[in-house]
Amino acid sequence: MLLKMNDIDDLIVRFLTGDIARDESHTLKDWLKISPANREYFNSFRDVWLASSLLGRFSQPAKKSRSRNLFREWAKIAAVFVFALVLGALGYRTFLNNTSITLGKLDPVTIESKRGAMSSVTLPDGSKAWLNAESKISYGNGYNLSFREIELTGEAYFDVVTNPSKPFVVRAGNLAIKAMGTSFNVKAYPEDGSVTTTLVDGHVIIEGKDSKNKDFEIELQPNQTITYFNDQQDYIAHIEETTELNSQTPGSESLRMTRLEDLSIIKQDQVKTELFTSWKDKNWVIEQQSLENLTRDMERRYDVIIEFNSESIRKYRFSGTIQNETLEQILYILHNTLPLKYTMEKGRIVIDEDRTLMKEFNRE
Amino acid sequence: MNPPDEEMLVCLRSGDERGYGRLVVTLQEAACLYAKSIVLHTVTAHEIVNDVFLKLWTNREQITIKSSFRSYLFRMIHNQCCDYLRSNKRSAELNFISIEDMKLRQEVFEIADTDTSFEKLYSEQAETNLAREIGKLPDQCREIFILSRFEQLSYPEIATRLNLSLSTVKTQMVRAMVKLRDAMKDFI
Repeated sequence: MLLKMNDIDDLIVRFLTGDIARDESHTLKDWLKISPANREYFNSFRDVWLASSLLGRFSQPAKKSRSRNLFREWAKIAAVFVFALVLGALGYRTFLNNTSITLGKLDPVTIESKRGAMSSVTLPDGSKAWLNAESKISYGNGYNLSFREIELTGEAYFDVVTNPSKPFVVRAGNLAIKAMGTSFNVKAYPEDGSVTTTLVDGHVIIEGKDSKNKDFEIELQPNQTITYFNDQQDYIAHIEETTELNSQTPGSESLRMTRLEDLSIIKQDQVKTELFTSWKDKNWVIEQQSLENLTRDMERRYDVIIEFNSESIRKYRFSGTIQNETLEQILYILHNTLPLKYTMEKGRIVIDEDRTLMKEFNRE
Repeated sequence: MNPPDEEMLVCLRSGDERGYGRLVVTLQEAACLYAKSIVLHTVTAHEIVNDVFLKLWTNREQITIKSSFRSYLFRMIHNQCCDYLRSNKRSAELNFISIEDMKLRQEVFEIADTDTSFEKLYSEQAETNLAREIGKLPDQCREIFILSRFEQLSYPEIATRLNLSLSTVKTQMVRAMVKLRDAMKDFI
């Protein structure tokens, strides 16, 4: 019995898919008996066949909250870090706590993290996305067939599988962020009025329109961050504020930035990318963040409302690493490092300056 | 061992029925599709998987799992599927594939069977590589493979949907498998 390799491939695949006549099954069986090499050859096909049935089919259960003495919002958050893998796009619908995945026959696929929840997904091409709280990505059913395009509201970190023939495009705000194979973070909450892209490795191109409605294109290098402001007023205010702060703290590396002409864009080189991406990790690293910005992240992350009773306290800056801490613990840390006090009631937190601490703080 | 695995073992050992149920849900889809890849019949695959999960639960006190929970589970499903193909009792009821053909399928699997470990078939790296290689397939080939493997469409369904002949669908499926095997032979 002599079989050509092509015939054998054909036979094996048709056996696995069940599309085989009885005498062909006998032929295959006899061929397998001939040598261990033949069997090994068959097994390599069988393994691809079986592995492809597992691809993207595991959803990890919600993690249990480790802490007991916290208020409910936090317990909810910790319980909802859901890892959901998505593949295929037909009539598959599942809800995992606060993260919902919807796959419709015609509708685009939408993956959403509610306030107080985070999630991550594997996209049909194998690329991964981590979603921060109150964020949403969606893509059409044609995703990966001829292009890879995603719409983002909120914040997400992407780990993109290399595929030169199909650029990976994230649409956020007024920008299109194009990547080949790369890891990058995009923060685009509508209420922030800006889109911040941070490149960890690889390269991305950002496309958009400037204030005169002219197209622009900027290439990002690893360890660079670009913030695009939708409104020029915000942009100017931000520049002034940062310049003032930089004059107070000379050599403050994390704040070194370049202005780009005609564009409401700030480019920062040599940034510590973890400051922009660690929200998704166990250790959330914060450096020189104004309380104003930090509390906005906290509001989404812990699904609470944070208000200030004192304007001056908003501008104070905080550095530190949050390691699975609860909201209460974070507030306590803030209270210990900055001259503030806080009250907390039913998910509403009010931060006020602490006069006594303020005196000591300013003396230091 | 990854966290759900560990959690599964904890649930089994402590008799946490709800926890076990919750984890079963997360593994069910993969388990059923895996079983279906062997027995080629959806309802049977579901029955086998349910049986296995139930068996694991009722025998939880006797079972010692040395490897990871998942590899134990998938090995058990694999064996159960082969047992099913070997037995001729239930297949007659279902009548979707003749007893003779089922026996042949089992024999081929048995002759070939070197231990298919779950770790080998499923790791994050293998997953990423396989997904990438599927992405690299020529358009038509990839589409057919995806419709067949992930959306569980039959060949005639694929042919109708893509407006292709049945033989084109079959040829392209063989082509996809051959390409994937070549690309994955070092990983799996």
